[in-house]
Amino acid sequence: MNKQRMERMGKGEKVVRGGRLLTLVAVSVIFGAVGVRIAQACGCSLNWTAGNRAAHSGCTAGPISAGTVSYAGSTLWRHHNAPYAKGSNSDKDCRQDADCSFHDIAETSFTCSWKIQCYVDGVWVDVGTISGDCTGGNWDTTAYEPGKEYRAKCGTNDTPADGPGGDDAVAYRYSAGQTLWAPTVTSFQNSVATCPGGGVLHLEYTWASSCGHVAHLDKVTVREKVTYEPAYTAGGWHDMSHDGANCFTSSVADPTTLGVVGSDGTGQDNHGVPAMNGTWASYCQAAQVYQWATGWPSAPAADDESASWNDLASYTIGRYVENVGGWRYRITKGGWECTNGL
Amino acid sequence: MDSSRHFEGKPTHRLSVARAVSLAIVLGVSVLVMMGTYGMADVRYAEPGDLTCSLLLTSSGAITAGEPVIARVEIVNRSSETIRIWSGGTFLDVYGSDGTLLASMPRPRNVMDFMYSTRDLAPGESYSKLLIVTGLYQFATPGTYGVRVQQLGLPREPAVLCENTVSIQVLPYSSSQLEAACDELFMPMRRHSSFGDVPLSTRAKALYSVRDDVVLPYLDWMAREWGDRYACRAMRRVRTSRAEALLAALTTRTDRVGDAARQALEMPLTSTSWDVEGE
Repeated sequence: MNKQRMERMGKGEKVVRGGRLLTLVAVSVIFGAVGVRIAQACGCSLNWTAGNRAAHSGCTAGPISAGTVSYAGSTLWRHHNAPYAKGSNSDKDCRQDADCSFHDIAETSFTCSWKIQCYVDGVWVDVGTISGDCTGGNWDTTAYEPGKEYRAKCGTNDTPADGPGGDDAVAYRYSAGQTLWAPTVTSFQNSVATCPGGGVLHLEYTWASSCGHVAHLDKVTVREKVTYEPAYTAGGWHDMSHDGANCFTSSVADPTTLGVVGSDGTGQDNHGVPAMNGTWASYCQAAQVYQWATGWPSAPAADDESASWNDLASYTIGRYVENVGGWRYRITKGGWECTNGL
Repeated sequence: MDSSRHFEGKPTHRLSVARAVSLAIVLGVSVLVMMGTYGMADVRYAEPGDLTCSLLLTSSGAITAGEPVIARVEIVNRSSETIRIWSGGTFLDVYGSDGTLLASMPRPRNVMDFMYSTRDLAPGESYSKLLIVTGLYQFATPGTYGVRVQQLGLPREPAVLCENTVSIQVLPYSSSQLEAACDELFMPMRRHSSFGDVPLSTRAKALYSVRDDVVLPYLDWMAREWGDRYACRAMRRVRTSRAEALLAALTTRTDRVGDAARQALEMPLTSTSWDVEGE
């Protein structure tokens, strides 16, 4: 508005030229004394103030009244776009005209900038910039550590260049603080169980994510932890022969901890056949537990016992050599069983 | 334990005839379901000749001594059918210029109960992953090295499905160059900005792989910002008095940073596949 006014004034000056100038001079001479009296009576130039003062009779201008900021989603998950809503803004600036009167002029446009803050040691700290405008913001939470409390901060500014000339201070509004949650493993279940031959038991498992997107489990490790009978384990290796009592000869890592990244959404498990030296009644038992844990910035290592592992399912695995009218190898796990003739 | 006792104690030996018949029916149905499910898995596992492996170490083919190195591995299905590969079956080895094996990612050995994941590749489809080469071997001495990638097969004997070897030139140490390399990995973490082609986890592991005091401020930031015990362990791996002092200072804290530092003191220092696997 101010700019338009200045332009109009400029155009007025341009049309005053040539013969009209002589007329203007004459009129000025005739009415000069009156003109001086008007200037002396008022003498105000165009003036803007963002706020109001006692002397501003007729103005109620004040700081920007910025609309509230609120989270517009449900659970705040990592790896999601978190929407924030923004209420409308308003502002009045005070204009003093050449006749020295004061008027409220409503601000017509605003700019809004968004940041994300994290609560650190009792203080909210800016930790990133997010996209948004004066209707709302959108936070991609992917790069932010879960488990911490965050809030959105929106700074609303007026735009004196294209409207009222009062330049208010930026008005900040904040959403309520919220914890950013890491997605968790849900619905862990067996999907396939087969005996592909040779006594091998093959199982497949699937799982889902609490946030609804299994691909978001990229900071999660799903692992198996298998422990064998401790009496025959030394130096991290289990002797399946059990000091010669079994015909098995294999040694296996005890515990065996192997994992896959949670975002795979599926894991397979092959339960193999030990090497043997002869055939006689033998038995080796193992306890298996499937677990998950989450980490930051990386999914934890499968053998990291300092991670917070959560149990998903537990099984006892039995490996037998037995004579049932003929020698055979048999493996059992839960309700599954595979056999192979020896 | 006495195996015969386990046989005698098996619940199925105490079943009545009626229950045994019921169980047999259930088991029979289960076996049919299992067989049916097995029959549905018509995607075969990849075999030698099905795949090609490529390995890109750096754009220039050269680094300065001690710099972190991230490799991009691309595995392509060259066969005419969809095949299944072991997602975790990519392994690296590092050789000296004379062909001496300097470091090798341990292959699975005597794994009786083997959890893993797979990925199906359509004909012509590629599978790309990042590996932190310096998680396996830090190129502390200038010279020429060979880095070999192998993709192993499953589920039976882990045959080599494809492999590729590229050389890397290691130039004399430069602390400023090392700092610049660390900065490049680190700055997106600090700014929470886009990680580009290298995800956060891979960047962090690449910084963990540096064995020089230059990396300590970055590790310190990760430890303090995230309570990152792996960053604290990386300090131990630097093995300098400055690194030890830094970690010792963190262990005195009573918050999660202190917890992480103390946990790191209990963690093994040996590199594992976790140190190498990116995203």
